[in-house]
Amino acid sequence: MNILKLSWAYLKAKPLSSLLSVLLLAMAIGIISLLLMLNKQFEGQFTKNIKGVDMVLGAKGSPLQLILSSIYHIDAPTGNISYKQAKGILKNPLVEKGIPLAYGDAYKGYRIVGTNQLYPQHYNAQIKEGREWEKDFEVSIGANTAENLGLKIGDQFFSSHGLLDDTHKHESQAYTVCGIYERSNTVIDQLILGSIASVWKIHDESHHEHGEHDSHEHHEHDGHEHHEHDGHEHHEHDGQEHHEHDASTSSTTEVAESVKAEPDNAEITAMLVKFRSPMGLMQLPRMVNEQTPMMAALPSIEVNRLFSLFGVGMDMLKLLAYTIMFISAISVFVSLFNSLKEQRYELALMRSMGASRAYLFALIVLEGLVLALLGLLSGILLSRIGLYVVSNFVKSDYHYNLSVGGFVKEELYLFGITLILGIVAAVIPAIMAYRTDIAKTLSAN
Amino acid sequence: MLITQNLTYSYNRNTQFAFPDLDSTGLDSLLILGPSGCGKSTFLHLLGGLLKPDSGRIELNKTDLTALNGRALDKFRGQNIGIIFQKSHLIAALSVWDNLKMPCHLGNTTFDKQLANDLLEKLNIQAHKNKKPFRLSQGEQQRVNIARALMNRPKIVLADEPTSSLDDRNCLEVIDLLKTQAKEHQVQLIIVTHDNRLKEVFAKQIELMPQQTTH
Repeated sequence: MNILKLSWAYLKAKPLSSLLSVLLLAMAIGIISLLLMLNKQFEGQFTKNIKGVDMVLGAKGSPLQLILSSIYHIDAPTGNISYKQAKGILKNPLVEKGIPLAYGDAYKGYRIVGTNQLYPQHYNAQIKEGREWEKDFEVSIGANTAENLGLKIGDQFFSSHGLLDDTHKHESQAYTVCGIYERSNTVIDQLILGSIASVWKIHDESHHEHGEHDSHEHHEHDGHEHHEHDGHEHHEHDGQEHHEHDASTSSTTEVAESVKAEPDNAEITAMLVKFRSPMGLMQLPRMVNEQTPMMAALPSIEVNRLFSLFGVGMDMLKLLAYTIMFISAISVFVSLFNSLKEQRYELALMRSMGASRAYLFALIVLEGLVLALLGLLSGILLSRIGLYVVSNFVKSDYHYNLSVGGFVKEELYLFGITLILGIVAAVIPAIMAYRTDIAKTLSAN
Repeated sequence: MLITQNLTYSYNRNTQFAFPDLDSTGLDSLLILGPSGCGKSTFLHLLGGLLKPDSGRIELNKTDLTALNGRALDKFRGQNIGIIFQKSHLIAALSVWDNLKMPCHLGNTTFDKQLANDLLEKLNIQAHKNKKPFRLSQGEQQRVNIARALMNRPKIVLADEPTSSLDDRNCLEVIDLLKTQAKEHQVQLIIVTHDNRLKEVFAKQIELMPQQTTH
C-alpha cells in the first residue's frame, strides 16, 4: 500500500467522473498538441523549401498559386512564360542565379520537372544510386518517389498530363530512371527531375499526334489556366515550324547544352531566382511586374500570407481547446470536491490510524495530478493518432512526409501547464481534507 | 498502562466535561458506560489523542499524550493506539485485505502478512479477504475493523460503541472476538458504550454521569 495506490483506488471508485475529467483533458491536449505539431511540421516544410529562393517568375495569375506550384509542387501552374524573357532577368547584376522549371506533367501523381542541375544542387540533394540525368528522357528521382512508386534504376514509364493520374498519357516517349537521390527532406524527395528539353519534346510530339483538329482545343485551355489539367507546356502553339529543329538539336546535345539550344519561342513554367543582395528585392519584382508580361511572386510574402490565413483558424481552434481545458479543470475540481463529502469520514479514520494532515493534502492533490497525467498521456496519444491520419492524407495527396514522433518545445510547456492545472484544481479539496476535524467528523453520525 | 488525571474538556460555556481519573496497570478490559450526551465519545477521543484536553494529563506507557503535537502525535497514535468506531468505517475503495494494510502504511510500520491472515482466520472472515467492504454484512465489517485495529500491535484498543449497530447474536459474537483477540495480543481494551448488553461481559466498569454545567 502506498499513497499513489490509494489515490488510484479512489479514482477507480468513481470511474465515470474520473473518465469525464480525463476525456475532457485529453481532448483539449490532443487538439493543442496536434496543432502545435502540424504548425511546426508545415512551417518546417514551408520554410525549408523556400530557403534561398527570393523571387519566382511565372505567368500572371495568383502569386500564391505560383509559389505553391513552383516551390512546393502542390498546385497547378499559372501558365507559361518565355524562356528568353526569363533569362533576360538573369542578366541583371542583382541576380545571383535563376533555376528554370518546366512542369505540368506527372507520373502517378509525382510531378516531372524539367530543369537543370542547379535545382537539385540548390536543395543539396545528393545522388544515392546511379547518376543525375544527362540525356533527354533520362530522369533522376527523389527518395519518396522511388520508395512509393517502387521505381528502380533502368525502369521506364510514360508521363501523363497534369498531376492527376492517367488523365492523358503521353505514350510517344518513355522516361528512363537513371538515378535516385538521397532523402533531403525537401521538395526534391517527391519529384522526378529531367531535362527541360524532354518536357518540350513530349509536348511537341503529343501535338503531332493530335494533329490539326486537336490544337484548337488546346488553345481554349489557355483561357482558364488555374485548372490542374492546364498546367501544360503550350510553348509550341505559335511556333510549330520549330518543332523538328528543336528535337534534332537537343537529341544530339547534353542537357546543359540543350538548355542553351532552345528556340527563341521556348517556354518554361517558372523560374526560381536568388538575389545577390537585398536590393534585388526592392527593385526586381516591381520591374518584372511593370515592364514584362511575367509575374514576380515573393515566396516569403506569400507563405506569410498563407500562414496568416491558416493562423485565424488555428487560433480559433486553440481558443476552443483552451476552453475545453479550463472546463476539464473545473470537472477535476467538482469530481474531487463531490467525493470529498463521502470521503470525509474515511479521511478522519486515516488520521486516527496515524496519517498526518499533510498526508491527506497530498492524497487529494495526487488524485488531481493522476487525472491530469492520464489526460496528458491520452491527449498525446490522441494528437499522434491525429497526426498520423493527417500525415497519411498529406502523403497520399501531396506526397509530403510528416514525421509522427518527437515533441515540440511548446508541447513541453503545455505538459507543464496541464500538471499545474491538475494540482490547482485539487488544491481547494485538498485544503478541506487538510482541515478535517477528526473528532467532529467521527462523532458526526 | 493507561493513567489519566483531572481531564476536562469543553465544547463551549454550556457543554463542559470533567472525567474520572483512570489508573489501569494490568491488561484487564475496561467498560465505560453512560447515557447519550454524557461525554463518552469525547472521553474516548481524548484517550486516543484525537482531541486535546483543556486540562489534565493522559499517560500511555509512560508517554504523556498531551505533550505531543502534530506529526508526533499522529505517529504515536498510529503505532500505539487502535481505534474501533461504532459504524464500521473501512475505506470503501479498498478491499478487506488492503484495508488491513492501511494502519501499517499510515503508521509507518511493516505490514505483517502472517498476522493479517491469522486475524482473518480467527475472526472467521478469511473468505472475504478480496471483497470490497460494502459487500460484507455489518457484523462482518465490524470484525474487519477489529482486525484492522490490531494490525499495528497497539498497546491499547479503544472501541466507541462497537456493538450498537449489531443484533444480539452478532453483538455477543463480536464482543467475544474482541476480548479474545485483545487478550491474545496483549492489548488493553477500553470500550465506551451505552449498550447494556455488554454489562454482563466485563468485570471492570465505570459509569459516567450526565454532566452538569459548572457555570
